Amino acid sequence: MFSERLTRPARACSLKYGRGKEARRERALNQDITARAENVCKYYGSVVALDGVSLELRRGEITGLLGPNGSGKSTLIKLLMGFMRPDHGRVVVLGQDPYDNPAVRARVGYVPEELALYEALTPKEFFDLVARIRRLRPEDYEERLSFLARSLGLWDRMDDLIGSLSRGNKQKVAIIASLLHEPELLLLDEPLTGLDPVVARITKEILYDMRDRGASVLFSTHILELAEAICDRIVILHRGRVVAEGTVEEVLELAKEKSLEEVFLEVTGKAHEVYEVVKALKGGA
Amino acid sequence: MLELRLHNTLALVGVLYREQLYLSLKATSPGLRPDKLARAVRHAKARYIALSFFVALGVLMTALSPLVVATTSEEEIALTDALRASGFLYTTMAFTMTFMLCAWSTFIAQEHGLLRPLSSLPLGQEDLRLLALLTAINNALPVAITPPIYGALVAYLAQAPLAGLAAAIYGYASTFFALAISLALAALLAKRRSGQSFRARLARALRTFIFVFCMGLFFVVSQASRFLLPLLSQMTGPLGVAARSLWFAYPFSAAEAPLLLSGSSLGQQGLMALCLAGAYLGLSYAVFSRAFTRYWHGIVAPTVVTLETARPRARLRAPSRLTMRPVLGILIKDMKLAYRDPRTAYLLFMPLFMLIMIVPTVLADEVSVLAMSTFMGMAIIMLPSGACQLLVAEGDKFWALFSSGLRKKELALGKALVSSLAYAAYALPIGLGLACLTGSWDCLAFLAASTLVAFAASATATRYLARHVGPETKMVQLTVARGLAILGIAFAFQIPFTLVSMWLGPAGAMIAALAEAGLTLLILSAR
Repeated sequence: MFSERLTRPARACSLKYGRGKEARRERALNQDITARAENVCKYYGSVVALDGVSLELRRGEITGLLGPNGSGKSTLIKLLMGFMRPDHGRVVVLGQDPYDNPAVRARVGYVPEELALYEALTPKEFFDLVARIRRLRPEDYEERLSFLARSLGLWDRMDDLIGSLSRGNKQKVAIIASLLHEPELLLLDEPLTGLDPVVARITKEILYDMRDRGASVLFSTHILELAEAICDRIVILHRGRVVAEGTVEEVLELAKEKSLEEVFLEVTGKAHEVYEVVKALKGGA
Repeated sequence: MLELRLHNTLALVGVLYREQLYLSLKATSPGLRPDKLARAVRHAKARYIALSFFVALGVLMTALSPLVVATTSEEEIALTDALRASGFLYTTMAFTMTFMLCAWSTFIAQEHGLLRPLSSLPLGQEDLRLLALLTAINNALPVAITPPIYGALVAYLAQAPLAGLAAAIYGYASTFFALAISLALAALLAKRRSGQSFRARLARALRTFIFVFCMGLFFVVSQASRFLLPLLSQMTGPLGVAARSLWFAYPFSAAEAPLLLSGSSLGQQGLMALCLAGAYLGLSYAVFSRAFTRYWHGIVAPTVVTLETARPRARLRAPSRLTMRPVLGILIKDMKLAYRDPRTAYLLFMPLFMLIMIVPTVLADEVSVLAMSTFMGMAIIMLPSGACQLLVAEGDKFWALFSSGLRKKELALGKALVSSLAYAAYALPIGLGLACLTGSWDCLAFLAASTLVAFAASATATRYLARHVGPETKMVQLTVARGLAILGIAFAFQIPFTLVSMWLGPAGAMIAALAEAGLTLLILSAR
């Protein structure tokens, strides 16, 4: 099967190492891994959101999570945040179960897909709230916030009510709030929606910076070019299963396709559907 | 632009009502299964008819009860008193119900941009205005059918057709006044004042003040009437006409007009009362019309008014190190939000309304332990509900708190602190003032003790409710069972405290309060 050929087992244990060596290697690997999902299943009633998903996020890597609507991307991110418990399988974030140990979220940054912010607060007041909850040192916070607000172009809007900001500026507020504490793991659900090209570019640079500092970044997106451009690894989800995983080059090479878009359409079974629609459109014209 | 026909207009109003229902159900019951939600929306028309029936029946039965008792009871109850009571009850009920139902519609319309999709359709301005009006008032329409029914029943029971006419006119006047205030407040909410300048802050403060004042207006008037009525009776002698002229002021005039017209012939006073009723009806309609125009402009084009141009900042200043704690973060945020959103501002002002009630009692007599215990018991029961309301007001923003690593006990303590501090901010100065005026410190001791117990009860109640929230919570549901549990928690704190207070006086109250608050903090910090 095409999708099976592309899927790489998340944790391939080699038998050539001895017991002690294997344990040492496992420890080293664990130090390198910030988050791990092992054979995770999640159901919403009779709907299967995730079906045996395994995934590892490593330090110093940006991982792109791709998939059509309803493929389980947001559910996987919420499980990694510990917002819900998997029905089957295990989730470990920074060495702990995030559902049972919510304190681990203090080391994680998160931007949700649907933004619900306090509209009657100003961005500055919202960041103050986040800083208080995260117990940041005032001087570190001040410096970090100044840098992020200037970089993302929110500096002049810091005293306006969030309710008066555009969708793009609200997105900036959420991104800055997720970066204030320099997280070790950053989980972003469609983070670049609504951002103008300049800010999107700056955000990418900030993600690179996070990666260079040794953080893991996982972000879901529909923009395939973006994933192709900035991700070290990509994971394609379809109907709650991982149908492709690896570096962009590996995925392209294994699929023997020219672009990530074609790979995406192939592994999600949408290629035929698109072909039919295009044919109908051309026929109609 | 197309002009809508009547049946199309009604069909569109029906669609918008279903949408309102759907949005409110989604907001209040996020866990509702899709099939149940679809069923509820499908039966929107039946629901509307049933709701209308019960609202109208409730208003009429409540308002007519004094008259029914006066005319059927074997006991001697003066018809004049019954007419006056019934008139005042009806005015209050019609006003309050209309205000609440209209406020609900305008809230949904504003929060979810209910009319925005219509603006892209090829509809005339008049059609859109009509739709906006009907959408805003459709829930209040059941109250609008009660004035003729109430008028007819008053005429029948009092055997005075003109009294019934006056009652009906005042019914409509009350409805229009309530609609006007509700729409004007909705328009006020649509304009957000942004910025940190003194002018912007002043504008926000004024908006909140107007909203809370209007919300409390009828409560204040009805409370004041309790004190004013006997006072007026005493003043009628020495002041004569001046005092009597107060009866011409709405809402007192609504209670007096049927009385003046209950005689067999229409005298000069009766004629004046009838003219006055007509004048109030005209005035209320004019106010309503003006308020609707403001609402229309606000709802169709919600605006953010920036009262200053953004000044380039030199630097961002971090908050004080002392405040960098999660509990204080929640406290500061909630204080700001409650103050800025007029719909929750009442939580900050509610303790003031409560505390004002004890001032005359304390000033009239020396501090009675029984009276103080009763009052403090009320505060201890009310404040946890206020704190829990703050959790409900959090809406769908729990993700922002929990994704930052906030713990549930910190959330609970923060919310409890908000309501307790709002109470303490009034209770302690009022207690101090009363101590200076009466020369006794008992009142201050009781109020300080009640602050501590209210905090303990609030913290326990919010901790209980916080068990049911998580990052994915869209809105906390205050079900009957949870409401009863919160009430139970409040009583568990109130009863021992009241007993000790009554037994040992102010010193005992303080000891009991310190013990309860200390124990609560110990348990909460241990978990």
